[in-house]
Amino acid sequence: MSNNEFYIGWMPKAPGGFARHTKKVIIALLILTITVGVLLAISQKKFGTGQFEFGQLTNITGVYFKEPVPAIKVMSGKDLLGRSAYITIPLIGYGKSGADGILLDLEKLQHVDLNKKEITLKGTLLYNDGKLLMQIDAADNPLVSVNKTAGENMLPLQKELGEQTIQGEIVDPKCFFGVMKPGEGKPHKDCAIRCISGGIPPVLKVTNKEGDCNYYLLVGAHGEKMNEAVKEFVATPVAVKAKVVAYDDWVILYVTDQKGISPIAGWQLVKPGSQAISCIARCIK
Amino acid sequence: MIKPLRKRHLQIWTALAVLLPLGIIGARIATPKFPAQTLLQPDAAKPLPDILKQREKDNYIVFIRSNPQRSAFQLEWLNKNPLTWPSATIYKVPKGSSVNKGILIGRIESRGTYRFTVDAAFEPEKLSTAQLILYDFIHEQIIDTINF
Amino acid sequence: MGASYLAVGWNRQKKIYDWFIFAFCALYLTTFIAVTALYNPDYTFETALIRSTATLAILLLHVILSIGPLTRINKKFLPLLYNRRHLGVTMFSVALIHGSFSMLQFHALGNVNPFVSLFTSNTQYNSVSQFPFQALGFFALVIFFLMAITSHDFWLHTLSPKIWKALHMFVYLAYFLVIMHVMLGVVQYETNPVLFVMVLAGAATLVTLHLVAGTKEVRKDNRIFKLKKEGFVYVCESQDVPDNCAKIFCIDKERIALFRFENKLYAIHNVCKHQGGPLGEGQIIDGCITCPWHGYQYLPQNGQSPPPFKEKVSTYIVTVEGSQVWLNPQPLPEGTERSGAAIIIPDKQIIENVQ
Ligand code: HEM
Ligand code: HEM
Ligand code: FES
Repeated sequence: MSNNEFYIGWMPKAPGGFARHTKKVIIALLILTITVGVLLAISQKKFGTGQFEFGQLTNITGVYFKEPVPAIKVMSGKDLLGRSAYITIPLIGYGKSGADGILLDLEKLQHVDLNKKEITLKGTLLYNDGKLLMQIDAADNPLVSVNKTAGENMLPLQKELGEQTIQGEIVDPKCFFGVMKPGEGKPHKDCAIRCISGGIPPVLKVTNKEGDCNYYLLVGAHGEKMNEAVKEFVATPVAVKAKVVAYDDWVILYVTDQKGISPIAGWQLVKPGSQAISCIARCIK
Repeated sequence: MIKPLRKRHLQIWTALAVLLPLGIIGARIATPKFPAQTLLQPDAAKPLPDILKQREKDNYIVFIRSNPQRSAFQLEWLNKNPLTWPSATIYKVPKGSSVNKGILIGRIESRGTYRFTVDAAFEPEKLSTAQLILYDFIHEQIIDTINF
Repeated sequence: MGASYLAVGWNRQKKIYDWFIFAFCALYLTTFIAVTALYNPDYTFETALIRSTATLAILLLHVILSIGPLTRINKKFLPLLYNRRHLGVTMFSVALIHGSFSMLQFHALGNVNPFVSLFTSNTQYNSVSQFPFQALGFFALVIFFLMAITSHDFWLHTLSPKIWKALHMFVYLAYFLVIMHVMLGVVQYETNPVLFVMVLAGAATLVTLHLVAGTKEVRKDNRIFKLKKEGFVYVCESQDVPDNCAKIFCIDKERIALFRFENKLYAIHNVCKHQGGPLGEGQIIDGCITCPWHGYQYLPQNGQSPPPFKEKVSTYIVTVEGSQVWLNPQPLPEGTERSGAAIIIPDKQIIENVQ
């Protein structure tokens, strides 16, 4: 008789054959749901250890430097050999924007040139793998105090490491060091471009065979911003030809020229840097 | 559903049977590979040959090294995992006292090996009265204490 | 017609169906987020939410896309089809959460409008390895949105089934876009091949199911009717049609359902007025042809739904000559009454029935 059973949804109960089959289907779906959920969840790449102290403001006193990227240098003391220990904290703005705008506004408002002055800033810290950055937001009244001009001993130690070609991935340090996970790679590409467009200084993340990383700041040959120029190279393997300068606890790459950054491999129908596509994009804007 | 519509469905799926594998495999093959590169930092000094002491923690391994003459000493710090504090500096303090009484050894950053030149106070006998503190001077907090 | 007669309202099985949809979604999301949190103490909730809803949506999409061919291969899957639209709308809602949070996370608080950012951040549309995969997800979401807002039966009637069917064909495009959205997105970041293998397995399953079901159906459609006279076509022998059931014939373009009811044969258009369900796969219940998909009913005598319902389908003229059934494929206007063709039952069979 089961061959002749007929299912109608509005009947209060499905005929036995249908009910039994549906039960089997539900069990199969149950197994599928859990298996897929567990497998996909455990197969995700390990999340980064970045920290973003969202909602927590910290006061930091140090010397502000406008170049090569806006940053504040904080002393912690001198070691056995009399060398100072310090940390240089690049500054970034709220959302997907750099800190330049806010700092300029603050300087105008207070009629001071903050460069090389000891100041106290209030902001949100984000950090990972030994690098620390601070977000300053106009809404938090970030400039707490401005003190004297810093002494000579606070000026950055620079050491030229010559011209080198270095391979890595360009990331936006705000997302990478704390705000987003993943803050790198293809899924995050659009966001990194948006952040770098907004003025957050681009960083080249370099990884060695052991998986350890170093992070170098990217600027133009004369220290000018490279934000627009690096946009199309973000989140993809690139080789950067640059003059390398160890600048206190950060390494700065002074990219030789516009052709100093080039993609490594990848399938490309048209070479990046070609005008056709970016022109369309500009028109949409 | 009428006959042409059913045929259209079949045509679409035949097309998808070709396009889907092409797209899926193509995208997978095109996945970019990131190259490995020698790092510029940390610029660690040459290790001294003898290991006098060793302490292993989840995130790092600490060695006290020396030359055979015991005239030079080195603190070697192997940072295994990314730091999750704003800053991390190493201090040597007399056991039980605070960081202000300590001697700054140096700052550690990204993963890798750090070697700090230290003085004879790191001779094993003398070390028993001292301890190392890993200190975050931004949040002014002690991250870890290491006893030898 | 018993008291059980109801249109497709909010009935018991529909409620059970919806309850299961909800339970399965909740189960999936909790599993994914909990396992992520356990395995990855450094996870961020935003990412867990974006990924759990994304993968749930694509899982639901696979289920939705396999129900059609499964019911065609095995009728026992019909209960799943009954409320497929709610599954579609649920899938859209889940994908909308994923899309909205992605827009917020990746495009908000920037120096341009998030929607401009979506299309202009990454402009490497010429590259496979750098392709702006988010735009693909966006267009898929737009298609799902159009399908979801037109999901009420009201729209099916207002838009005319033709436009609506055309709209529906876009679900396949959307499926392709979603697959490429995943392949050109996270798959190019993840080092573990699990997601890649699952996408491939999912696509292989769907393609196989659809090709198997599709060829089966098209073969049925392609049967050629050779015997013709005076506009009538010979279709089968009268005893081939089981009582209270039908046989389906595709003459020219349209499928026609030939029902046997109280030993008379009646032919009506095979396509249900509700959502195009196959009436010929239904049965006669309480004297009404009942659609297998959602149970709309039509009287065999005139192709009309019993009052107060107003649906009407085309009817056809049937004649029986000896044991041969002849059908005129020219449809009568919808709801036209015509008498059934009485089946001449051989003596032998009568004896069997008496026993
Ligand atoms: C406005 C529309 C959309 C946007 C902006 C968008 C954006 C994104 C982004 C940024 C990712 C990468 C997330 C990550 O893992 O870090 C992603 C992944 C994904 N998306 Fe979408 N998406 C959209 C629509 C859709 C739709 C409609 C679907 C499917 C029904 C979908 C399915 C997926 C899937 C399955 C993933 C992979 C999830 C994973 O990370 O494991 N997306 N999407
Ligand atoms: C939005 C309002 C919707 C309505 C009224 C609706 C109704 C229908 C109907 C009547 C069919 C049968 C078509 C046929 O076989 O001739 C169908 C098929 C289908 N619908 Fe929907 N649906 C809706 C939404 C969705 C959504 C949001 C999805 C999701 C992705 C979806 C996916 C499908 C699929 C995949 C088929 C397959 C057709 C086949 O079996 O070959 N539908 N739908
Ligand atoms: S009752 Fe819904 S299609 Fe026939």
